[in-house]
Amino acid sequence: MSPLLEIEGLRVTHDGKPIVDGVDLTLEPGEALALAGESGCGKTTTALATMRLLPPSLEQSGVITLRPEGVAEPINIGRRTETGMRLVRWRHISLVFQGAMNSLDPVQRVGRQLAEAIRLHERASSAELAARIAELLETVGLTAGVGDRYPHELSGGQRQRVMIALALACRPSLVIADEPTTALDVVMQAQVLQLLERLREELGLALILISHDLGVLAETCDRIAVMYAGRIVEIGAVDGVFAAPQHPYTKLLLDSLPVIGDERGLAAAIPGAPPHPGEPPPGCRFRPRCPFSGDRCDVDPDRREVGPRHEAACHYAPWERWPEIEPAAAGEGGAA
Amino acid sequence: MSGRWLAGKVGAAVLTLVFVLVFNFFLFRAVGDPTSQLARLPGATDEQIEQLREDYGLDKPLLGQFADYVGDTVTLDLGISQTTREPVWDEIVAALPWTLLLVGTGTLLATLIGAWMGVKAATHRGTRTDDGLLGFSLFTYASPEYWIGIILILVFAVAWPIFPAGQQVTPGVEFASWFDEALDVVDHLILPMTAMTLMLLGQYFLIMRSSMVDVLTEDFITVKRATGLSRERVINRHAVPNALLPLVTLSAIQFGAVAGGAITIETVFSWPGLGELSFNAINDKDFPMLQGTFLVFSFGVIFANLLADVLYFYLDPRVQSR
Ligand SMILES: Nc1ncnc2c1ncn2[C@@H]1O[C@H](COP(=O)(O)OP(=O)(O)OP(=O)(O)O)[C@@H](O)[C@H]1O
Ligand SMILES: [Mg+2]
Repeated sequence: MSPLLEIEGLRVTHDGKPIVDGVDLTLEPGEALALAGESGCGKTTTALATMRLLPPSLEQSGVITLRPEGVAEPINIGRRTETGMRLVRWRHISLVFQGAMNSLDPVQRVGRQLAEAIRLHERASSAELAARIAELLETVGLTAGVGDRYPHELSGGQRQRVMIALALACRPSLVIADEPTTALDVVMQAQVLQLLERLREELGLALILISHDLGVLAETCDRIAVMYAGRIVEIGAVDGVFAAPQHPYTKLLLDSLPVIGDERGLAAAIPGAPPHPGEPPPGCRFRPRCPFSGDRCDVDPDRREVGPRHEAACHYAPWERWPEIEPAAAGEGGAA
Repeated sequence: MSGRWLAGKVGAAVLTLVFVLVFNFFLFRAVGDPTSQLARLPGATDEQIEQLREDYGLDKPLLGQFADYVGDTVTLDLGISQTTREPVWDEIVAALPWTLLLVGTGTLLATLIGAWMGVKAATHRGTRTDDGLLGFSLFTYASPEYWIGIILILVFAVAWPIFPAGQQVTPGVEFASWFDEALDVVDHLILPMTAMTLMLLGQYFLIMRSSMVDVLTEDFITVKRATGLSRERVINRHAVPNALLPLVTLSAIQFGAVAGGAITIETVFSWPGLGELSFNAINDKDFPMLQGTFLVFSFGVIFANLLADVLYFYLDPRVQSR
């Protein structure tokens, strides 16, 4: 089966400095991929580049190919004209944005905004349109009456449901959800994620889910890609990566998850700060913060196969077992 | 819910009006005994002055004067002008339409052009278009309005005389029809209206530009683009309606303030509006007239604020549920 989405060598630069520096990934139809990594590593930029929605100050290169079901020719995102892209957006890929607060036009009724998106891609009579909108709102667990409301009249959770309804409006094959639950309380978060999971199964959607919350990602996704300073440093099945991470950064990220009942309580975060992707340190980008680094780390490692469908960008992978590290040693690494 | 909100706003406006009324009374009493100004007739006898004081009710105790004043004001009896000997109210009624015409057209034009320029600059941020528009608007913003007025007169009425330099209609002409008269008024209106527009434009442009720049960074703009809308449509259908809110409110509020502040432009162009009326009143120390125009200006500001609130109410659904 050919992948639904294929990203090869995606680079995004600002004033010549890279923000995203060579991202490769593939996504099968119906698959859920998690995209994790510290703030500023380029997750949102990657997502927007996939829809060619970056602001004009950012330049993107690389090949992005989309093969939606029922479309004969693969869609080459990089080659399309802007007008051509407008037909691809929302019809094949849609977006649920970070935080629900500002993702809808505050001075337009919700129903009108849904209708606008549908009418852009399909011919529909007013009656059909109204029925579609009611159905969409019900799919995400809202009443049809919500269509007559303004965004500010809805709760954060309701608004995010409206966003999901909007994302489903044209029956796309891929939904990119960029931190869809950050602005919500824990109960709402769980509800929205369950909704996303349910819809994905029912509609056979592929999903790219971006989040800082590894727990959320593990629960919702099949595969996980971990980004560091503009690159994917590890990618593989969620189970495999969580059980046996193969990049020190992933290992430390997982270690920094608070473990309930653990006597350490909140585990230490990774010391030091990530470099800006535009000014990476020489050699391996993670070296200055890596407690496991060695001589080979002078050379920037390529990402390579380290297990079945499991890739990591570390010279020393696959790791048989991780050496014990003292917290102090990790601190030293961060200072380097 | 919304009726209550409106009632509250109207109530606040009425309260402000009452305060202005009181303030107006005491302000003009505080500047000194009005009779010392009234009796400018050389060699006026004490009796004549006494007669004047009686005519104007100035011999009564302050509270009585205040009661008279409130009663008169409410019945639109604002006294008699010291210079023209006409009722102040009649003079104001004659001048008001001219001020409304000038300020109304000027505000409307400045709002439309300012909004259009603001959108252009914000969507071309950092380009020459933006720099040019910014430079132009800062220039007009910084120029005093009398200077703008004089330049307009020098260029378009003197050096290249295509428009009349002043007044509202050509004096002494019998017009064949109201339409001809209207055309003549428009001819006279163009220069002062342009001056008024230029006076307001810079500020409106800057407000619209910054509001538009803010709106364009909002997430919903990216989402709308993601749905497949073209950039132009996102701007026109979603960004502009949101960015217009502060500008519309500002120009509505300003409308009241500008009506009072049109003094300079009306004077430069001999435009027979309230501004000129009050300017002459100041020169002639015409107290009843000053008091009257002051009252009308205050009323204008209060009314404009109310108008701005109501406009915002209809334009921004977020206000309605408050
Ligand atoms: N328009 C832009 N111009 C210049 N730099 C940008 C622009 N957008 C993003 N960046 C930079 O690109 C880097 C990656 O940003 P991005 O928003 O993709 O990170 P992220 O991984 O989504 O972070 P977060 O988890 O905080 O959302 C950041 O360092 C950011 O400063
Ligand atoms: Mg982000």
